[in-house]
Amino acid sequence: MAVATRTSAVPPWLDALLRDRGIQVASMVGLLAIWELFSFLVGEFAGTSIMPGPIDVAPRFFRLVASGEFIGPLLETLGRTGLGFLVAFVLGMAIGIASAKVIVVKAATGLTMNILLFAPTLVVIYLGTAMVGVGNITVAAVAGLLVAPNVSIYMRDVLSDFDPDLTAMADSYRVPTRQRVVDVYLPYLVPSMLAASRVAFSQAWKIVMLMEVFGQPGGLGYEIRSSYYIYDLQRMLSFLIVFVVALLVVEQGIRIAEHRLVKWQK
Amino acid sequence: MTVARPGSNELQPPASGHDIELHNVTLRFPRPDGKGTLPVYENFTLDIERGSFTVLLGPSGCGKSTLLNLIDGLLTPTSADSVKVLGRDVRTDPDVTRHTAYVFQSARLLKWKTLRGNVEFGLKGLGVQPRERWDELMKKYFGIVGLTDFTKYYPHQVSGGMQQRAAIVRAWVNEPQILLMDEPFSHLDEITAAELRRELITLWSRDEQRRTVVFVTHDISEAVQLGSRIIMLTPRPAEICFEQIVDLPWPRTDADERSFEIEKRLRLVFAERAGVKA
Repeated sequence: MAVATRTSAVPPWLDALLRDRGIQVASMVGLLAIWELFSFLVGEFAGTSIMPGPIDVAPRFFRLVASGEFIGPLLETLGRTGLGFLVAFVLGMAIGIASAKVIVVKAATGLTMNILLFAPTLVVIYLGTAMVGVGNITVAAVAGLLVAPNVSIYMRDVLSDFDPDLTAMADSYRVPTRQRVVDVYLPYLVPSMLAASRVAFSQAWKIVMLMEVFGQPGGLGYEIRSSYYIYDLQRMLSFLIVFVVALLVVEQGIRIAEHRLVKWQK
Repeated sequence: MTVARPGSNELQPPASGHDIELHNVTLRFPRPDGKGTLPVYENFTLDIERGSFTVLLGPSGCGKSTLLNLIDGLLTPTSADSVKVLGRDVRTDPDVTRHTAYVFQSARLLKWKTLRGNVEFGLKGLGVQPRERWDELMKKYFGIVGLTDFTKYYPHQVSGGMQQRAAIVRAWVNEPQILLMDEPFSHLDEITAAELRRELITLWSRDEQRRTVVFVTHDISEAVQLGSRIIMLTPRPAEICFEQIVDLPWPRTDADERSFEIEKRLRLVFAERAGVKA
């Protein structure tokens, strides 16, 4: 009997990405069902219809998408997130690499990084807003400060794990610095940098949202806050869905980049 | 920068006929607790002839690998009259170690590069082979070790034995005058190791211009199977406690009576002299 072979036009990395799609769709449907059931039970037992289910929210969500009303706030939030991410990533990479290489930097930054790591997000947001005031610089600074420690600690540990045997091999083959950076250190760091950027982006995103909910004008967070004030939960949930979908898209984008750039991994 | 290619005029064998000359080498490491030093070599002297397959045999931790690192200029001795490779002292003329290539205990491949990419990495680093020859050289040496169909694979996609073969190609493709091999087969199963020993001997004996191999092992039968000269070292500080010239044709097997006799003798001496010092 002939074995059915799958001839696929999509490249292998995309194929692997799509393979789990069935399960993903099923889990999404399950999640929506639980949401609907929850909203029904709240209505039955609490006697209020305050928690709209997906069936109630869907028309509002599609109207929001169709009207393009979501684009402005989304872009605003994305822009702020990008700014915060950039600050966090550059700062985190610099501190991480420096503290892996220079023992003094590690000693000097270690405790600060830990304090920032454990600092309650909302307190830093309030402090930042109180000190610097409302505006994009505050957002970038607060997101940068809160996310950078994660990037730096992660990159520091990744670099410390570098196999000294490979350094000895490169020494033995008289490999010059430039070739070492291009052929050894960069490829070693790229997967971790992508992983760190994925985490950093989603954290910056959440922090920006929080800052918008707690006072920054404009953006998705502002829309959610204003919906809450007028008790329009359908509108609030519609914006929440936009938020989640946008985050998923960016995350998948980074994943695809990972698959393409890091094809040597298992 | 121009680097003399192996075989070119600059690389005539030194007048002494010794590719490697270690004279009165002393190496002491600081103790981990910071109190004093740990002597690895005290006034150690060893000459290695051009074209020989010298096996350094000794108990674990006696400093065999350290000796290879000294020869390759990766370590600097505490003091020495000379650490000469091809007649040039590696301390003052480190570039001479471009004519040595090293095969380590583990393959030490870059996992983000294909087997071919790893071999190119070494070629580019040592810089002794002109780029026009790379393709031809890689074809030749990948072919000899049976990796022709696997050059585009990443290390994780092939077995440990194949990774070690690629590491051997990475060294050999430079056609260095001196090959340093540090227990290169000790991580492999016995069957693969035996196969690779055979391939190594084929590679070495096939060259018109015999390379000088310094091979480290703690395995007596491996030493007898490969070496033209076996040097037995004592535990730290390492001294030469016995020497054996093995004048038998390759490939050798355990079944051969003469190599079996030599092995037996070495085992006796090893137990007697290379044991832990009181």
